[in-house]
Amino acid sequence: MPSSRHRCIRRPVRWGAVCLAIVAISVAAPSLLRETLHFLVVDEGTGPADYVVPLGGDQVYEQAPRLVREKLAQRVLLSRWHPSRIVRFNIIPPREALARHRLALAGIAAEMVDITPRAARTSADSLRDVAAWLAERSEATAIVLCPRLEGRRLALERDRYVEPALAQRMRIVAIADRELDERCWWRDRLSAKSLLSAWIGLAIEVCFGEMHPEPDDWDPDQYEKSLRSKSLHSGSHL
Amino acid sequence: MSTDERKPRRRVLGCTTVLCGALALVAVGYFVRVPVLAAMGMWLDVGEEPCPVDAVVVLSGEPNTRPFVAAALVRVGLADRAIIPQARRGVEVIEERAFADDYVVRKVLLARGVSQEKIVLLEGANLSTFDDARAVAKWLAGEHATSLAVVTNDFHTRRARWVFERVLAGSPVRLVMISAPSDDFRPQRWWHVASGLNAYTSEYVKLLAYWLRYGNGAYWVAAIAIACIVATALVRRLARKKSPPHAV
Repeated sequence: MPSSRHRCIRRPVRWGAVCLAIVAISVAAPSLLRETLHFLVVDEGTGPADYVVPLGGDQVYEQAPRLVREKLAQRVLLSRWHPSRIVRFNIIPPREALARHRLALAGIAAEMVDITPRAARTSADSLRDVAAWLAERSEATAIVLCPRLEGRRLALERDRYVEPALAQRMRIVAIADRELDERCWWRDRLSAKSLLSAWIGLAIEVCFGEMHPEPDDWDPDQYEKSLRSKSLHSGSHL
Repeated sequence: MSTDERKPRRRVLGCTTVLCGALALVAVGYFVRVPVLAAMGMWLDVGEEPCPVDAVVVLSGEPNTRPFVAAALVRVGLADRAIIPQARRGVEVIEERAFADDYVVRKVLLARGVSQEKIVLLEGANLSTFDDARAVAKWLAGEHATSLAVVTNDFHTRRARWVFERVLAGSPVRLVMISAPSDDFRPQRWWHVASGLNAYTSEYVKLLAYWLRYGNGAYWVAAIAIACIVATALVRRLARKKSPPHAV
């Protein structure tokens, strides 16, 4: 049993250890914080491939043509995306049309661009569509370009939902983002927000796997009609 | 049995109790998860029934539903004007590679039949709901508006109301929160969809951050920490008093 004298000696030692731990943590904190970001970044290499798939990311439609120009990819493969309401209402053009336009501006001829036939609503759907495309072309490989902080989640989704033989033919490359402060993300609000969202996304994928979105069947006309009838009933100024 | 021999046994007993308690909590949590998660989803939604207001603010972030709801309010005659606080334009927007939020919102309003003169763009480079609220407060100062509707996604209404109430504190403006739905998920089953889980988890994290930074959360945390330290010190002192004096 420790005597009171022992206790008197142990107490400063304990406080010293606590102080030392605090100093060690504060010295190592920036590198540890930086590591939380770098863990999410995946770069499986941009060696020669048959297709480059611009899934997303900063300047993705400039990066994809660069790979084609440098002969690291033969063609560009676009993943068709489920049209959102603003696309269906002709507010903005579909993502594929925008992609084609930007690829053309970057010097990619229209005949060098392919598009997957099915409309995807999630990134897992997109990866499956790319895999199906590769499956129809023996030995074809693809470089998938994605947002900087989405690489780890996409790599996990590919390994989970794509057949291993096909998954080996897809390489994930997370492209650099000019708006992301990789050195001190904790000092930049936007970077911190992006990192939080990316970590939550990865955690959801790890814990729950694939979850399908609900049908986007909300009808603005119906909403307006219901508002109108409510206003009439309540005698509002119309 | 001496006190020294009893100590490890007591410690094991304590650990087992804590472990059993934690397991019981997890089990109870599993069985009540559906009503609890649904309640968590509903708690974030403080949207009200639309009523006549002077202006409706469309917060940027979700152009697939928010501007459609705002347009309906204006068209039905429940709001006189639609206000668009301008969000900060990212590099992609500046380089004309992506559409700006305010541009899309304005286009939706026009496409839905809201006339140009009823749309007010509040120029700025807003980064947060706070920035949006400040821009609206500045605009309100020069107007004679007495009521304001804020349209945002259902899960964002609580934080948005909290922010607007703080920024507009002292002004006579009546605030009405209007919930716009989310396309991918419903508030009653948000945890069934990855984007819903991400949105609601982020929202709770942001609420906590706002409470700590802008509210009195920091005081609460400090008070709880001090209370814990004092309680631990008291318990230790009592335990030392109870145990017999050690032989030196």
